[in-house]
Amino acid sequence: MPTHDKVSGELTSFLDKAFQLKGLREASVEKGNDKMKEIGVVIDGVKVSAHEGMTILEAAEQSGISIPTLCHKKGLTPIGSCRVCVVELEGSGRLVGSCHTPIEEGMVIYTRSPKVLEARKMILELLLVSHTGSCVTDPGVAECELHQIAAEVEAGFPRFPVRGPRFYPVEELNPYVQRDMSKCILCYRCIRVCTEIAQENLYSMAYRGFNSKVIVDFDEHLNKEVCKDCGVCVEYCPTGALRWRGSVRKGQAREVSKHRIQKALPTEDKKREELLGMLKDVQKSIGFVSRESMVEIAQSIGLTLSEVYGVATFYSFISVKPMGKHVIRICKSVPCYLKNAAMIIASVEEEIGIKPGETTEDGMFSFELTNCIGACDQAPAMLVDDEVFGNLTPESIPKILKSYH
Amino acid sequence: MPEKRIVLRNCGIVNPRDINSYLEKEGFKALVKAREEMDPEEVIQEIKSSGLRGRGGAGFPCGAKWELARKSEGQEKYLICNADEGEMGTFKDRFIIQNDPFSLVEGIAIAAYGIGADNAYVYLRAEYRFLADLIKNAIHQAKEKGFLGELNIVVREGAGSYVCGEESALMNSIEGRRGEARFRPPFPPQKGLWGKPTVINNVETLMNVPPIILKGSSWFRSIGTDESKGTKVFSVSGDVERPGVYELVLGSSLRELTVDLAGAKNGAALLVGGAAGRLMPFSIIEEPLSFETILGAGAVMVFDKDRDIIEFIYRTSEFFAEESCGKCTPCREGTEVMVEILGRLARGEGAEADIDTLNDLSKVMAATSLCGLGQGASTFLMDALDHFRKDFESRVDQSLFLKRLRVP
Repeated sequence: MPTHDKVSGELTSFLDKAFQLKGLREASVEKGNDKMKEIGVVIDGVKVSAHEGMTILEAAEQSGISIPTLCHKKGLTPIGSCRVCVVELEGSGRLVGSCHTPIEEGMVIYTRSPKVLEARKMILELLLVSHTGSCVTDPGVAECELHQIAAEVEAGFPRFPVRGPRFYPVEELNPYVQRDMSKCILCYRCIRVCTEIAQENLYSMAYRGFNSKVIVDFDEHLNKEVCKDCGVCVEYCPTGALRWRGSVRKGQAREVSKHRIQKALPTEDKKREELLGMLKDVQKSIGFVSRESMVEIAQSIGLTLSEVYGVATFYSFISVKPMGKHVIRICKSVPCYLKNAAMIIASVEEEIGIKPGETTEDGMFSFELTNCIGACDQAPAMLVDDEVFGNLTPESIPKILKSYH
Repeated sequence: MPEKRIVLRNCGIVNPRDINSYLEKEGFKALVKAREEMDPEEVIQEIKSSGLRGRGGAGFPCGAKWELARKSEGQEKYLICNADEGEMGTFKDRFIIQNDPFSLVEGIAIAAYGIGADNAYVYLRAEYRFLADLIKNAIHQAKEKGFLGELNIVVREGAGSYVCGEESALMNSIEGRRGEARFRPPFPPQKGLWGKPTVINNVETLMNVPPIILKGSSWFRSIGTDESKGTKVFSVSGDVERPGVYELVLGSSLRELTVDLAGAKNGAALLVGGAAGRLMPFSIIEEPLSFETILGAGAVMVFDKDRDIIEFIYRTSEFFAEESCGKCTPCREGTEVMVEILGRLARGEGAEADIDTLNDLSKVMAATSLCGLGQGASTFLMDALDHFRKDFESRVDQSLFLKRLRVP
């Protein structure tokens, strides 16, 4: 795609300028700093001299040793999430991420030891198995860094399945950028590039664990009202999750981009500290956190809606869907399970006529199963709102729940 | 070795809502002694020589942590009391706060004085919301009596997340972020909350501080084993007659705790230290409980012989998957794969190769996960495969047999 390459070229030069403006650490390392101490390390048996403050990855690259990286990309703050770039340190049982671990005098580093190769291969398999999308038949797969690295480390077809790979409909509302989150491997690159380089903060990680997803606003499709067209994220996405749609007018792209990097960097604000408390207050007063209240909170502490949504959906006591007046949380962890929590769950189901995850029609109760609530000495136990009930029996349930009417 | 009350010394004796009853039991004497008779460095030295190690599970030497933070550059420093106690089967900190919040406040004040922090946080899990008033009241009364000086102690409530008990996720949560783990280095005593030097101590660790300051480090050092000084508070649950909180001298055996005190009768397996702890056959009960052997956060769960151990292993893997923050690949995807495979094995739909896959997976999760959650999940899995492999194999054989019956 010639258009694509051109845009890409423009962006590369624009990004280079952006780095200089930001005075990123990488840039300063490249320029060389006389004050920096020289440090000697051994990488794959070769003695290497590097500057203090460099990461293992930087030191290796400087001496021509390449380490595959996925979540890390030059110009972005290292996040160390994908674990593809792990290396072995002599004397350490665990492997360390080379993109974020600073070198220390005398370190003996192995970038291709059997342990490293086995781990890298397994991590690639884990990344391949859980994302869907028609990579195999996709003409764009040649550009997919995930597949390139998988080929490099000789990760074959994953030796395990997952219960349900992540699948989302393709987002095509935005005229310039198409999002296909089924292909996303959760590397955080788009989130960081949108914050650190475009300075828009449109994306955020939301939910948690296997359900994690990069979202926009209130988990809505990317549209042109929110995101214009700078497209930096497209250039940074390692897979086909983010793509250009059609042909992009490059002039326009540059205008907007220029405008953006002139803005001040967002300052770290301690106001953010209040966020969790604010979300919990709203949760308490109206039973969930609505889009409107999130917008209000976001404005009051200078965050984007995406960021607030990302935080809210991480925590299990905050809900973005309406909940009942009272929330019943039965502990399903092992100590309660051993003491017949299943019978208590059945009694609650019978008493209020709903299953876990549901809310009664009259809006009185929501019913959830939760992990250990720290009342194992009184197992089986449950929480109704903030109150703990322990040593439950099927007979005790109706009385407890009636007291909330 | 006997039960001994150091941490729980005031539990059931003082009124948790009235500071005067605490003052009658030498309350705040240690703080006054520290402030009036000792330099912050001397306080740290005293804790260092006492041999006190963290009670939250990792067992890091407490005084060394304080010293690191004190020596780190910058005027602004923080102390965080970790009251997130999310570890499955742990409820000792709840019991401590319910009964003696004043000792905790005193411990916090001494620690803050030692490291030079003007601000301290108590991070309380959402499930313990009912304890927030008790702590706030204790802080308020201590402040009114003039014990806290310029120290500002804030109670910060979580919102439902196990991983927020992990120190780096906890700091993100206090900062109003997603409770995702951070890579280390830098370690919290170098760069923690808002990038400032931060000490994070478990509730029980801080509870040990006032008695050490008051009675001296040599007294504390005389209790316990070589590497494990003092006592440990245990939470015992599962198949025992008397589940509850017990405080024992470190080095006491698992038998004393589970059989003699809690009344285990027919044990087959033990989970020591919670989900992220060690899963062991009951035959290890003669082992001493110590940092050198087996300890964790002090949760001990007992499983009887008639329990389905594979079902339990499967449920615990679900716990990890549901609570993973999702940041790093091995934990986010690895715990999901664990659940898929263990679910099939538990249902009798597994194969021999699944056991090998789990083995490979657990090694990689242990070596590469960003924080204790992914590492803990893998330790648990490795223990399960090491000690209960026969159970897995017979389940596989059984399922193969059933399959053969089904095929005409």
